[in-house]
This record gives sequence, C-alpha cells and structure tokens, in this order.
Amino acid sequence: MKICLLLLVALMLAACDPSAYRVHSTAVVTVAGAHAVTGAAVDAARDSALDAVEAEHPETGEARTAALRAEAARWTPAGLALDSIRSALGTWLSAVELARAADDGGALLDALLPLAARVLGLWDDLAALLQGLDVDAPRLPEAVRALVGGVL
Amino acid sequence: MSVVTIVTSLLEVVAAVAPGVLAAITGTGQGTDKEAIEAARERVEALPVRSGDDGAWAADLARRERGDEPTR
Repeated sequence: MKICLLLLVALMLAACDPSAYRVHSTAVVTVAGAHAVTGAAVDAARDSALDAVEAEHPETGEARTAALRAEAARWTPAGLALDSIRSALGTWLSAVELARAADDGGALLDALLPLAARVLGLWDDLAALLQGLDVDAPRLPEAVRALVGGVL
Repeated sequence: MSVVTIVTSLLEVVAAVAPGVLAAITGTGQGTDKEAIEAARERVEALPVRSGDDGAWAADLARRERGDEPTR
C-alpha cells in the first residue's frame, strides 16, 4: 500500500513541474488555508467568550455594553493580526503578478522574497499572540518556509 | 486531536511532499501561471475581514449590544 502511494506521488511529481510563480501562488494558498482555519478557531473562541458575557448580563444596558466591549477589546489585536496577514497575502500575490508580467527569468521574484518572508514573520507573531488567548495556530509547512529559507 | 492539529498535520504532510502535489490538491496546479495566481487571489479575497468599523466583528458586537439574536 505504501509503495503504491509512493509510486503515485512520484508520478504526480513527474507530471508537475511548477514554475516559480506557481510555487509562490501555492504558498499563498497554503497560508490562506491556514488563515481560514485559524480565523474560524478565533471566531469560535471569541463567540464563546462573548456568549459568556451575555449570559452573565442577560439584560441589555450599560453594564452589559461595557462588559461586552471590554471582552471584545481583548480580541481586537487578533482580528487586526489576521487582517494584516490577509492584506500581506494580497500584496505578496501582487508582487508575484508583477514579476510574472516582467518575465525577467525570476530575478524580480527572487528580489521579492523578503516580502514573502515578512508574511511568514507575521504568521509567527499571530501564533504568539493567539497563545495568550488560548487559541492554537497551525504551524506553516516547512515547504512554505523553505521557499524563503534564505531570507528568514 | 483538535481540528487545528489535524489541519496542521495535513498541511505538513502534503507540503512536505512537493509544491507540485500541493498545487494539484489546492487547485493551483492546473492551467497557466496567470490562472494559478488568479485562483490564489480568489482564496485570499474570500477570507473575511474582521477588524475596523466595516469588519465582521464590529457588526457582531453591535448586534450583541442590542440584544439581537445571532443570524449565524
């Protein structure tokens, strides 16, 4: 079974010879996937925390509003961090698009690696931030990190 | 095992094999480079915006302050 799987993977590898642009696009999709999963986990944790506040203050009024705002404020940095990564992913893709349009054999793409590294650095910052909120962020695959390995 | 752990494991396994395999699975392995970039763009733009006055969280907080039922 394992041999069949390895053969299948080898065949897929032989069939796939992704360009540098495609590798970058795939890296962006991978980080976006991790972002979607992490964002959903953050949303669920924030919802639970705010639900608890609502349960503690069932009647609308100043006390409930103040308590809700205080709890929501705890999550604001996480929301900002998630949105920063979303924006950075868009910028990364724009850079890949520019490099593809320039068609200079990948020289421009190499020069843009620090931008990709910055996105991965933001992910690490997000993971550290979420630890304080008891939310786990998945570790990005080594293949993605290896893409900018010389820069990090 | 949490969802995050499972997803992390899957990402690790898939991405460790090769970007080409990952591209095939994520849908960026088909078509031209331009199409791969556009597919990635769609994935990124589908991610919700949470912060700011127009973000999803501001609307959620306003709903909770009013005491309205969730629409989700």
